[in-house]
Amino acid sequence: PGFEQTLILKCASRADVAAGLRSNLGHLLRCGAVIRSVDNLGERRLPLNMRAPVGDKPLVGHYFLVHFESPPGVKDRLRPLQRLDPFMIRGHVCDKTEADWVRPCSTGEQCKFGEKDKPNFEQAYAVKRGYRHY
Amino acid sequence: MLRCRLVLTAVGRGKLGLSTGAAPAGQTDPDMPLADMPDPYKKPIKKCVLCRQDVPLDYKNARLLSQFVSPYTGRIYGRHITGLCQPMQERVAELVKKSQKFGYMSQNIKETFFLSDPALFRNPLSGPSVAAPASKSSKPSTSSTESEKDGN
Repeated sequence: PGFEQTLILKCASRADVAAGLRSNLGHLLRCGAVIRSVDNLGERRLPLNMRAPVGDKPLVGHYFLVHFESPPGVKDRLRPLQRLDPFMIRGHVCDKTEADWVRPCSTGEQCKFGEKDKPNFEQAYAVKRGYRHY
Repeated sequence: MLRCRLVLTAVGRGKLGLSTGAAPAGQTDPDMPLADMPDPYKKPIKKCVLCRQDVPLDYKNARLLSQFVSPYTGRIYGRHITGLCQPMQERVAELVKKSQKFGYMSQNIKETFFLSDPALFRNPLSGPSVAAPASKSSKPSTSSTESEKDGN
């Protein structure tokens, strides 16, 4: 099945980023992946405090999006290889079945937007107030 | 003297050019209302903003997902604030969590360069509702090579 990986690499220099990309794509190939494409999303300021597996806390990262195909279980095989990678900040893998999500209203199901789920809410959940006679 | 009443059958009436009493084409009974007429009392289907515009959601589209997140705490607004239908609200929440995990969005804040985005709903912390041009806000920022450097 198809997967996509958001690879965030440390930005030291162009050569380091290239070396990091080469090593991370090598990890994928070692796990039996067939790499389809690599998209460069550019250098961005990291939105949250990320701790790299090896090294200090960087402030800027170089984002790549890797599309590949591999047998299932690639995440478990990739984890030990990424653990000691000196170039990577994050490299989470996601499968492409997320794109198959379909809105319930597009399949003909009646959308319940604007309708009350519990029309008799006040009658059903009213709390009796007053003194109890006992 | 015999009196006989002439009773014409439907076939006979048809031959003489009279109305046969049969229903018009596509209808069983001529006295009943038309079967293929649309219900004039049917209410129009109301949809939330995302369903109406058929906006494609993606975890990489941090700009679109940040519109449903508080700028102060980074928390996802509830359905009574966003005005989304339940499946879309769950989907947005799921994608925000995924985006945060993958490193596209922050968990505690909203990016400063997203603050000037048009509001899709009335923010509880701001003033009166902001009329948002739906076409502009529904335009997703695709994963392009834009570099998001420090917005300050």
